[in-house]
Amino acid sequence: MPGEMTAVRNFFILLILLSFLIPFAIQAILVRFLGLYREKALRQKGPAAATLVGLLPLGGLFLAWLLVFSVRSAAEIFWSGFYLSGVYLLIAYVYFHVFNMSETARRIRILAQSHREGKVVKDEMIQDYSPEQMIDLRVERLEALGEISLREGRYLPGRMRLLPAAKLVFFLRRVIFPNGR
Amino acid sequence: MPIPCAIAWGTAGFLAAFLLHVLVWRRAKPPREMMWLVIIFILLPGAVYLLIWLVGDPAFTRGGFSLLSFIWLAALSSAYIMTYPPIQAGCPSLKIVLKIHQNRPGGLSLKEINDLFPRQAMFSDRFDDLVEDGLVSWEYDTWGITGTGRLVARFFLAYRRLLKLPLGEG
Repeated sequence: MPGEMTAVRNFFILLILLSFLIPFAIQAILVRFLGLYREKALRQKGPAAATLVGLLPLGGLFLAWLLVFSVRSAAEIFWSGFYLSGVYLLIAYVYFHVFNMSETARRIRILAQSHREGKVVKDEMIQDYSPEQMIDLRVERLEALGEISLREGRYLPGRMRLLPAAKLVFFLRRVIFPNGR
Repeated sequence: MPIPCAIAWGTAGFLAAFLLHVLVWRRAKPPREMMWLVIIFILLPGAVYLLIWLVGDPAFTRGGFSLLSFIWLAALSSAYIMTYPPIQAGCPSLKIVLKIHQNRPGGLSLKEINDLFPRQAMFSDRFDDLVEDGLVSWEYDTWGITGTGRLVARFFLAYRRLLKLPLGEG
């Protein structure tokens, strides 16, 4: 029936749109109400944990959609599940970057600090925020995440889960900016 | 629902937008890059989908095909747009990871890591990006945040308040 098909489709699209909110909602519960991932070194694990935990409500909603609309075809169940989880993971990746920007982006820090103080004082900011301090912060974070480790005064590769991302980013940088920026 | 086709069309649309983006950037990087990325990756394909939906083959819209295809494309595009700032700015954390990996087995000392980054560029380049993106401007002999810059700052401050976290240290 065409009307029934439209309802199945509309609720599926509603499900997709709902999935956009899940990573933020779960992180808010984990961080704000349960007090998890609040420490500076652990904060960046928050969005990843929220994404994984978010698969539970997403799976529940998907199951409810299958049951309510009696979706029986194995192919339709597979492709709907594949599509929904694909969009969810992409949106969760976007959300991870939004959080990361709020946590580590120099541009966001400059803007937020300037907005709070009601003025932009470039020279004062340069003094307050030395290059050494910026590097120390990043090295500290990478060490806390287990990406690198310190041994006898030298930083060595740790788990290196960020290595594929680093290779991809610098490969794309060479493709898009062949002569540098 | 024709989901496999929607995924294939959405992916093809994303790749076409990516190709256009690379060609434009290699020729002459436009100012206000983020705005242009949104135009190339979201608005332009959105306009094409709308046009096909209005005047094209009804098969394209049947079973929510065009909407599902556009959502897929928009999700892929959003993921790329969010990856772009580290690509453009050469994310220091990722550079540290890469250089330590390249310098195995000895690794790097803190001084060697510091030497990877020019002192002035660490802050000034990011400040210049804000000016180029129209988030900060020079007016009446002083630097000020523009309306868009204020909006971005408010968004991130409100977001951190919602999570009950202090502002990140940059």
